[in-house]
Amino acid sequence: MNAGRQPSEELIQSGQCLPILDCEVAVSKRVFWRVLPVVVAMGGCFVVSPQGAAGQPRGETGGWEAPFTGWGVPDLQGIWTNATLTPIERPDGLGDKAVLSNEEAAEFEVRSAEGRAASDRFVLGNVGAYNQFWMDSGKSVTGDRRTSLITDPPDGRIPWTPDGRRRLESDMARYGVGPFETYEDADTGERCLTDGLPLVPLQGYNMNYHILQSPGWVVILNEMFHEYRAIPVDGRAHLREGVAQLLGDARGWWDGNTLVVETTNFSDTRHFLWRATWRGSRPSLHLIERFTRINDDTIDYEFTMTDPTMFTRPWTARLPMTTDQGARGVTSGPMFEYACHEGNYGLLNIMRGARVEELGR
Amino acid sequence: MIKSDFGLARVALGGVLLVGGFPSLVVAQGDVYSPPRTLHGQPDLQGIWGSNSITPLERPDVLADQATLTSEELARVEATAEALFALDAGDAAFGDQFFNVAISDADSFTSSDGGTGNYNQFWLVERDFNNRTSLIVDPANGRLPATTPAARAADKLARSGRGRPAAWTEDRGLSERCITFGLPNLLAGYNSYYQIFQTAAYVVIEQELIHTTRIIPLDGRPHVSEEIRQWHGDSRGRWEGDTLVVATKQFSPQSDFRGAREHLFLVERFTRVADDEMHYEFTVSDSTTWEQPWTAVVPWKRTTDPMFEYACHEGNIGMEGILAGARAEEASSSERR
Repeated sequence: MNAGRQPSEELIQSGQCLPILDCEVAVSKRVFWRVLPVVVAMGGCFVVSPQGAAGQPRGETGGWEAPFTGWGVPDLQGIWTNATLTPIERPDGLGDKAVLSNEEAAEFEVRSAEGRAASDRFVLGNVGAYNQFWMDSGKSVTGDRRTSLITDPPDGRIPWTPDGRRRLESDMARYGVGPFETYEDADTGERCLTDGLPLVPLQGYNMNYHILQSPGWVVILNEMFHEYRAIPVDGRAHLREGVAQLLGDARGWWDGNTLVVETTNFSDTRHFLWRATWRGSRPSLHLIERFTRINDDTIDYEFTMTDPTMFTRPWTARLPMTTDQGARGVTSGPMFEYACHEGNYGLLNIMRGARVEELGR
Repeated sequence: MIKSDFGLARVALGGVLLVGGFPSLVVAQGDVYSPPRTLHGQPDLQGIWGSNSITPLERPDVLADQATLTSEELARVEATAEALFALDAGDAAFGDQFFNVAISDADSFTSSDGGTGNYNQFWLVERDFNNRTSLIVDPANGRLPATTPAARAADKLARSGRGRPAAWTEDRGLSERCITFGLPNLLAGYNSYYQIFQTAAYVVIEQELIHTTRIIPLDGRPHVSEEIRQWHGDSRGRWEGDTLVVATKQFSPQSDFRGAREHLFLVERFTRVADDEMHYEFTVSDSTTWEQPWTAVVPWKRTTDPMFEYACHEGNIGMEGILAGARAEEASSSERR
C-alpha cells in the first residue's frame, strides 16, 4: 500500500488536491500484466461512416450530420475514452469560478505534467506505488475548461446529506488504511469486482469503453475489469424488484438523438468499502445516463444520480467521451483483456502486513 | 439464467468442477434452412443460446462403435436421468457425468465430493436430450486423439500435485479462481449461456459463466503482435457462406484447454441451422499436445430467458475454506510428528 501517499478520488472531488501529483499516483494496488502504454497503431479502430437516411434529424453541431445505424438509431459505436484532467467536483480553492481562462487551463496542464514527472522520482522509505509507466490518465482539461465535471448544482459539488457525508468520511478514513481483517475490508475495485457506475474517469488508466450496437441492444465494454453492460433498448420492463445486481439493471431508450439509460435494481453492497463512495451499489440509487454524439469524435456523456439517502438533491455531471485518444494524451488502439488478480499479490501483502502489525503491537 | 438469479452463479471451489465435455444434438446438415439476415446482410446469429446437451465430449467405452443411441436406448437414458435428477435434492452431475451415469447403472452415481458435500441438482439447469454419443466428430471414434509424450509428462506432473493441500490460491485452477473456464468452454448445464450481438464489423459473444465477453473483429484486420498473449487469445472472424468462422491464437502460457496452452490454435464455426438451434463446431490443433487436430460439434438451443450478472467470488468463501483447511491439516500433522 502506498502508505502516506494515497489521496483518493474523494480528495480530488472534495477539492483537497487538484488531480495532479499526489492524486495521480493514488490509484489502488491493482496490477495488470499487460503492458499498458504500448502505443499500437490505431489502424483497426472501428469508425462508423455517417450514412443517415433521408429525413433523419440533424446533429446539434452546425452542418454536421449525425451518423445513424442501418436500422435508424444514432450510431455511438467505437472505442471511446473519457480521460480528462478536469475533476468531478470543483476544487475548494476555486470558489465560484466555473470556467478556467485559456491561460489558466494551459498553466494547469503544464503543472499537471510537471507533477507527473515529479511523481516518478523514487522516494526513499516509501514503499512506493505505480509510477507513470503504468498510468494513462488524461493530460488535458475538457474543451470548455470547466472547473468541475458536475454541472448541477451550480457550485460543482456533490450535495451530500449529513448521513451521506458521514459515510464518505468513514470510507475515506479507511481507504488504504484499514483495518484489514479480511479481504472484504478492501474496496470492491481492489478486489477486482467493479468500481461501480457511472462511467467516470477516476482510475488513472484503462478509461476506455467499446460501444457496440445491434437492433434493440447497446453493449458497453469497459476496459477496466473487463466489465460489460448489455443494455436492452427495446422497451422491455425492468427486472422485478427482488433481482439486484452490482451494476443494477439498465434499460435504454432514444430521446431524439440521445441514448438515455436508466439503471435501477442495484444490490446492497454498502458494507463493502467504496473508493468513490457515491458510486457504491445500493438499492436507493437511481441512475440516468445520457449519451449524445455531437460530432465524429465526441459523445457528450451526462449522468444524473438520485439517492435521497446520500444526496439532498439529484445532481448531474457532464463529460465528453472521445475516439480521439491522442487529444487526451492517452493510449489509442485496440482494447486488450484486463487482468486484475493475476500475478497481483497486493491483497495478500495487505493482509500479511496487517498480521505483522498485529504481532508488533 | 434463472438458476443464477440471486447469486447462485458461484464457481465450485470444492474441487468439484470438471472441465469436461458436453452438449449436442444430431448434426443438422444438408437442410436448406436459411437464417434470417441482419441489416448488414449477415446471417443473424443474435440472441441467447444455451449449451445444455447431455452428450459427453468423448464416446464412453461401452458404446465403442456406436455414434448414436437407438430410440430405445435414448428412452432408457431419459428415464434413468429423470429418476436420478428429477429432484433438486440429488447431488449435481456436471458435464459428462450426467450422460455417463444415465447410460450405466443409476446406483453407480457418486458425488464428486461425498465428504464435505457438493452442489445438488438445484444449481443446474435441465439438460437437452439427443441421441449422439460424443461431441467429438473427428476422430471418427469420438475419442480424443493420443496426446504427445511431452503433454503426458506435463499432465502427470500436474496430477501428482492434485489432492495435495493448497499452499496458495495459485495451486487451484483458473475457474476456481474466477478467472476463466477456458476457451472453448464446454461445461454444460451450469451458466452455459451465450448472448450474441452483431454489428457490421464485430461479433460480440457474451458468456454468462464468469461474465466473460469476447469482441471479435470481422473486418479483416491482422492479429495483434505475437508478443501479446491473453487468456482467451486473439480472435478474428469472417463469414464463410452462412457460417461465422472465428480463428483464435496467441493464448497465454497460463491458459489451459485440456493441457493445451500457448500453442493452441482454435477455429470455431457458428452456423444457425434452425430458428432455435445453433451448430457450434470447433477444431483445436496443437502439435505439442495432441498427435492430431480434433473437432467437436456442440448443439446450442435458443432461449428467451434473460442472462444475469455472474457473481463468482462474492459471498463465496470456498477458497478461504480450502486454504484454511490446508493450514489446519498442516498444523495437525506437525502436531502428530
